Amino acid sequence: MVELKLKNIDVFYDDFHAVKHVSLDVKDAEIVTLLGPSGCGKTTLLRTIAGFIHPVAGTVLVDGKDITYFPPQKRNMGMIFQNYALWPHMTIEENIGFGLKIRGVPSDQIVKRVAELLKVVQLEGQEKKYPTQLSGGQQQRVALARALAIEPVVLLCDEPLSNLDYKLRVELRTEIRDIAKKMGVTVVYVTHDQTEALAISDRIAVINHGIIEQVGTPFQIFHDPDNLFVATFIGESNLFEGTIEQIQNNSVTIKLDAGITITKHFETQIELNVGDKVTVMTRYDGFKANEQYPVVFSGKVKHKAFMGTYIQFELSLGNGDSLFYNEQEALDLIQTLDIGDELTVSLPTEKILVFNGAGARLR
Amino acid sequence: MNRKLIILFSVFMIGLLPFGNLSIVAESVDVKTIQPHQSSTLTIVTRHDSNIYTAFAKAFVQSSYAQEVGITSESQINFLSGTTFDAFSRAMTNPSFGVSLGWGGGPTLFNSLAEIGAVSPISDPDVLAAINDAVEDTLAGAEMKHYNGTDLVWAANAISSFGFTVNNKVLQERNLTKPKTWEDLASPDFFTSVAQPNIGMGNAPGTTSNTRIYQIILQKFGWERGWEILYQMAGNGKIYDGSVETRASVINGETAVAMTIDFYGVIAMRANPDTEYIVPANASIVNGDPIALAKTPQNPAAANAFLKFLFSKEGQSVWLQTSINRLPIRVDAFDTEIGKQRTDLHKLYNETLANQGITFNETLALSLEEPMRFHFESTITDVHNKLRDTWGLMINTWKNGNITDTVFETLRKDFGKPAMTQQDAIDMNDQFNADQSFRRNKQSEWLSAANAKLDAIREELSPFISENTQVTDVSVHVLGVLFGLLSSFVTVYQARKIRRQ
Amino acid sequence: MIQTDSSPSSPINRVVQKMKTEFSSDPLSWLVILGISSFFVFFMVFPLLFVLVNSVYYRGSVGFDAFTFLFTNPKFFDPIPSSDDYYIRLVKQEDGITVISLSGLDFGIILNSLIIAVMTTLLSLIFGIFTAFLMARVEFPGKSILGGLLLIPLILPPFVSGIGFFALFGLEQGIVNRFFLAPLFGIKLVFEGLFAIIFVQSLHYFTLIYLNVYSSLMNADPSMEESAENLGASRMTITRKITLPLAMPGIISGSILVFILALEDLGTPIIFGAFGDPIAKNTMTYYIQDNIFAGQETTEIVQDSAALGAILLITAIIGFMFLRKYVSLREYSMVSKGRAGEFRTYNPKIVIKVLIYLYFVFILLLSTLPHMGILYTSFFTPGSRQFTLDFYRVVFASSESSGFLLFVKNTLVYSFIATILIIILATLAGYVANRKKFPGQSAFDALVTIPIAIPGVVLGIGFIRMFGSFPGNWGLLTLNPIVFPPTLLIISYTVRKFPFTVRAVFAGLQQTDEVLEEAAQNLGANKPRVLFGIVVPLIAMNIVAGALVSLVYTMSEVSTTLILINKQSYGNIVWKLADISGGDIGVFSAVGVLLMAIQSLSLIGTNLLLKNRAEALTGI
Repeated sequence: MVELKLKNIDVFYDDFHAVKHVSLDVKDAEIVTLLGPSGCGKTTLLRTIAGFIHPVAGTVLVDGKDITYFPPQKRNMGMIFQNYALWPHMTIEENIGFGLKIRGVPSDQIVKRVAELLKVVQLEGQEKKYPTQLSGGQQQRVALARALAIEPVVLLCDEPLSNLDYKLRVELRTEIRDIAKKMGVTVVYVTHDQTEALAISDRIAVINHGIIEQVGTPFQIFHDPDNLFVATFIGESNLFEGTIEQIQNNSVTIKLDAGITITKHFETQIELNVGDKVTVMTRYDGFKANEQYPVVFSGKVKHKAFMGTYIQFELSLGNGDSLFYNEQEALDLIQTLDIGDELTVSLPTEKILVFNGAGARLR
Repeated sequence: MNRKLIILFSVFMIGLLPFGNLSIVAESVDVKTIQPHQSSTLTIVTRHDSNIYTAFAKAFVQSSYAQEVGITSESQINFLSGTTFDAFSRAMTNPSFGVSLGWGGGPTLFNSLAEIGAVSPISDPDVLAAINDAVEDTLAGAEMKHYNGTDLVWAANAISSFGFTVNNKVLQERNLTKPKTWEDLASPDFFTSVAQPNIGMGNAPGTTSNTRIYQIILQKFGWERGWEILYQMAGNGKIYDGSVETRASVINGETAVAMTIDFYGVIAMRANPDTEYIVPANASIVNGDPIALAKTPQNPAAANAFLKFLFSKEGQSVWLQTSINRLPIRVDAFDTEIGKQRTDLHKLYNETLANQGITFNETLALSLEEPMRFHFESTITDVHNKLRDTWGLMINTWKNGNITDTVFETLRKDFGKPAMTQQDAIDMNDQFNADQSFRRNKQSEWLSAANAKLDAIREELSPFISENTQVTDVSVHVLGVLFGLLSSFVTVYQARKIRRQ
Repeated sequence: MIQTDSSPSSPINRVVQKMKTEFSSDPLSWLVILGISSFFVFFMVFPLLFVLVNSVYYRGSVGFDAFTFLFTNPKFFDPIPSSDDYYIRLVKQEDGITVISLSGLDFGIILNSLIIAVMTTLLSLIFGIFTAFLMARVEFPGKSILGGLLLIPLILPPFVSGIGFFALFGLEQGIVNRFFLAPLFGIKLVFEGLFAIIFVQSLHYFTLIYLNVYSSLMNADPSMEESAENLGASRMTITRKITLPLAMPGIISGSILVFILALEDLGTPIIFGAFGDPIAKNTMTYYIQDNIFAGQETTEIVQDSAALGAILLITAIIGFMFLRKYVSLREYSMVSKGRAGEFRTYNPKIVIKVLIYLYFVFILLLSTLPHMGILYTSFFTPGSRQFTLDFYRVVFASSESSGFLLFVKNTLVYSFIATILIIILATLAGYVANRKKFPGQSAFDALVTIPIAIPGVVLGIGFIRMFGSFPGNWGLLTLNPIVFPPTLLIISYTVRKFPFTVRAVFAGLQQTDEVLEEAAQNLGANKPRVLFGIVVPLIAMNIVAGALVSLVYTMSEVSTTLILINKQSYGNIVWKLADISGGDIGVFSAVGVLLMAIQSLSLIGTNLLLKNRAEALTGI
């Protein structure tokens, strides 16, 4: 049972406040991803968990034990890095066995364990090779084996797949998840690639400018973002500016700058007034190329792209705003519609997400 | 890749091992000055070279004298170096150094030591007997034993004379007559060209043996005439840092003559058969090289044994070894096996004794030595280029007939004038040694005086400088040419640049 | 679940927090920092302070008298020298030979040294830059051999080349004069005074500039030049406006280094002074070395020497400050882990290529002349000029009385012990200074690299002053140099040649990703294990290369060797060379050849390991 708790972590680089008062709970055997753009503080947070950085304030708890200021070597965590960090002057076996050797495990047991791990990462028989003799993907697998060898309380992954090409990335991320689940390891994973995050995680913590914007399952992050940043960072989105025309109980009528009027009912009290600015967001899917649904957009076709399983249209709305949508059914539209043609599409009201002026989601 | 080079490195390291075990065994013997078994070690502070003292240590250990006092191995004998007076006297007086004997460095050094009470009398009757058997009180007019009242404080165990070594081949090449006396060396006839030094002289503060020579010259010819000779010799020659460099100059053929102590002359002759050591008749002295007991000898028995050995026939013959080449004080050292082989040294020994030396006043020499040495440096060494050039100018102008004999003679006297009198030197001696700012100021004073003296002569001869066809200063010409080249290069470059545009 | 900002902790808390955690998690590093700092403070800073203090303090009174004296005395300071000195002079002799003397005016001790340093730097710059440019940007065959040959000047300290030079051009016995110039042209060439020193020094030091600039040029980003060419710039323009400016930090750092080294060179003035050249003796280093003790009974330093030492020291330190600034700039203009340059090179016409070869022949001839001179004089007797192996026999004879093996042994012992010390300390110091972030890191870095700039004579007299009255009975660890020089001498070598290895370690660490260490730490390795198990194996080549350089330089170190060794039995090769400098040229040359051989081997090894990176060879 390994629970990792971060409480009110503050990290500074000289005067730069890199991580601002962050708290996060990671449950046992859970895979949590820290996702965010470059420089958002996710790697800093990971390195704080690893012990390479000491926070100025806050605590890191592993199973209730305060390890905030423990040196890295005393934390019994395993870490894999973007550039693998395999020691070129040691064989694969020596690399993987390193942590065990330090822990005083007898050599015959090390040999056995190394062989087991190599099997797990599908690199049997490579013990005596040197890292430079292996491909990137293989090296990262070795790194994984090395980190897992010591049966770490947490496995930390610092953008491990960023140096690999697309196909390997896809292949390895599934592998990492499978292995982690099989071995029941708690994982904290850092990446800037949202597809990777969505595929590999149990939960995702979206980080921006040193604070956690939202923590949730991939589904929640994607379909139920808390704020504009999370909404636009994950997946593709259309954004429209609008103004509140009418509020009646919890029903709000919004007039978009593009001309469309939307009325939506919210669960909670709306603390806004008529005339306030809001941002409205839709994803690219869920549209029908007719007026079947309540929210209707009309515009001229600006671009069309046949993507194999769908067509992506860009419509130019009345005020020049663009609307992108993916047409997955009427695939013949690619031929029948030309640039400049008029097209009307509609969307169910539930698929409209509204954010206030501060970027917070109205629910 | 790593491995290959690390192997290379290791091979390299291994390859150097034959050159020695990697421990500081090298003469750490010297460090073990205080030993548990103090009674059977002998420590001697010395100015002699290692080839001398190791040879003597070896021979001593094999002698019966050593075995009688329990010295059976060379490791029981330690030699400390006393290069400065300070170090030497400290070693002789401070018991923690464990010194029993002081050996080598010349009578002046030992007289100074005696003066400050850094030596103790030799009193053992056997030792005295051995010494008296070997050494007279004086030899060729010089002191071989030094007394403090009736106590014998040092005795000479080797002798040397002072003179100069000539290179016959160079003399021939340069059309110079072979000199016999100091005055020959000072003669204008011994000058050939400002670019060709004919005499090698050692800078006085840098060499005790050359200083001795200068003291001899000053005493033989008197202060004024003595300095004249020194200045003129310097004009004919070149000043070197130390006695070894001076000797080398004549071996290598850079000079025709070099000031040398006798055994340096012997070394020169062995290195280059064209060279020959000459003792100027009635113009030299014989130096006894002393040995004395320390203020409180740590091992008196061993010290006495060494003394007995040193003054014995066998001990004396060690001086004759080919790596040492020095004259013993006992003539019967030449009756030994090695002595019979060294006919060259035997010949030199006889010549040395036959030479009637001058009466040398040791006390006088001591009373002005430091000021005299630094006066030499300031008025000769430090201005040597100008001194040599001025002398050359004088001679050429005279030989060209532009000045008369009388004028030349006057100039010569001016040229040879020292910046202080003998009495000055004696008077300032103590303060000179003690007060560094006084010394510094005196040195500047002398330097300015020397410069002024030479400038005055050059001033007087300035109308004739252009006629001195021997020497032409082409600095301006060359710089002009360089400048011309540079500007033409720049012009061409600029022209091409413009043309390209 | 949006986090809200809370107020950050105060800056002081942050620093304290940081220091507490750094120290508790890594006490060994702190120990290393403190230990090495103490070593340098005790064995470098303090002795220098003694000299500085001595320069203004004389028997109870404090003042600048010594400095006033120096600057008002023409022996030390003579900006307008007398009119009968000359730069170049022709002397017609009666034997029909015309002697061309190249000398230089005497500007007084202080100015002479400064002028020598400046002129040497200028000459070294000209030849160094030109040579580097040819090697880095021009096509012609045989470059790898030339590259090795160009290192030859480094393997003899300037003062040994002085003798070699003298063997060739010394008036009478000079081989070139006697057998070549005189019979063929009726002239003889004589080098004297400042000219001689500048000449000999430049031929030695231009290599340092060459190495620096070559390294800069080879490590630069090729795309900078390519883009210029793409935009239509001519070769000349690219060179002037892109290549040279990019190499500028390397050029400047190289020239400052040469300036400092030329200023503090003791060996060359000693050689020329030994042969009777009064102007050569009028240099600051010579004077200091010649006038150390104030009196017979004291370890007090002559105040003039202390004052001159202070001048040398301050000048050198100022140079060092500028040096650091330009060295850090050099790093930015380099590609860190980039492409080994595929540079746009010039491929000139055959005629030009021939000229280039001629240039190299000229330069190499001049710079290897001394070595050839030494070789010659080691095999031929003076005077009769017969071939003989006697000189070598003397060197290799194992008999006690000649003792040359003793000097070789001492040289190896001192140098090896010092090098081992350097390896250990430099690896630790380099690692800590590079990897660990701590307040005062910059100062620590300066402390361990400043020894390059410390003039040896100043350190030497500082040592004497400071340790001269230490107890002399600590056995092999005696620090008192008057009683037992070797310990302090080894320490002096360690201090003075430290920077070369440190720089090599730095270079290695730069190329080693810190991530490799973090991975090890993460898996449980503590700092020492990380250092010795991971880092050291990875930078082993750099350490070895740097150690080789330090080794080579310790073997040819002159200043403190001559000042501290007071007795033949402690002497090493350099000491003995200086001891016999004027005399016994044959044996001197044989020993010099021996030194050359040992150093060549080391340098070849270093060059193999280092290739393009000059840090370790030049120490900056």
